[in-house]
Amino acid sequence: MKNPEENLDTKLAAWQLEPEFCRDFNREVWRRIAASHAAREDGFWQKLISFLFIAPRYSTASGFAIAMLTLSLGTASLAARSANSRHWSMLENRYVQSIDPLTHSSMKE
Amino acid sequence: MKNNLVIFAGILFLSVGGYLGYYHFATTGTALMLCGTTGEMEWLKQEFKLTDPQFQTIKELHAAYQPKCDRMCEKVAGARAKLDRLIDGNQSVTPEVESAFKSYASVEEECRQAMLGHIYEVGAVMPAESRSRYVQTMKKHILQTHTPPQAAMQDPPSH
Repeated sequence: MKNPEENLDTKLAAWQLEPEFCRDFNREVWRRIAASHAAREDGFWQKLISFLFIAPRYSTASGFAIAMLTLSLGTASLAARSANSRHWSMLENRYVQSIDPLTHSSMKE
Repeated sequence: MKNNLVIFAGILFLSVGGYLGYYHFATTGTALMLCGTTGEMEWLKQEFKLTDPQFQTIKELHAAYQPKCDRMCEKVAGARAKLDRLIDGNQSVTPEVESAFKSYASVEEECRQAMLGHIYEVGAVMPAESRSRYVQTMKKHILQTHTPPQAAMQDPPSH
């Protein structure tokens, strides 16, 4: 009687691997290569837009961020315009005071 | 949940930062002019779009006018102090009080004329469009400053 290990050796020696390739293997490889090239050519902005607005996880946050930024910049713009106008008016008054002897004398008192 | 809070805090931080940054950037120019000692002259240059030579001439005129303005200021202060003293020291309009009033009015008129003379001088250096705008702007101030108190307190006539 043969040793079981010898039996296994014989079986292993007799075993031949016959790999089965998918018929569309080549076509599939080329399709993937083309897709990866296309994705690379999409560019930074397109990727960013798809990341921010298409990915469901971030689209709400991105919309909220854009709304908040628009609101804050709009408010800042209005506040700055008002402050500039106030500053401008103060500078105008300062100029008038610098040439008006009556205002000078009022300020000295 | 924690992730959402971080995102919310980030957005809030970005918004506040955006507000402060924009406000600071947009108002630095005028704020610096306001802090500077010659901000009013810079205002004049920018408001009336003066060229460098025009601005230089106006600065010289301004500097030459200052001693005159100071003298006027002293005269006004003196006339006002005298009037103040006489009003306090009398119970009726004496000839002395009357004379002090006239003297004060005369000094005031002298100041107004000197100021207007300076305004015309400065305006003459400016281009036509700026000159007329400058005179109009200054006229508004002269009339505001020297409007009698009763008239100033009345409501403006409705149109």
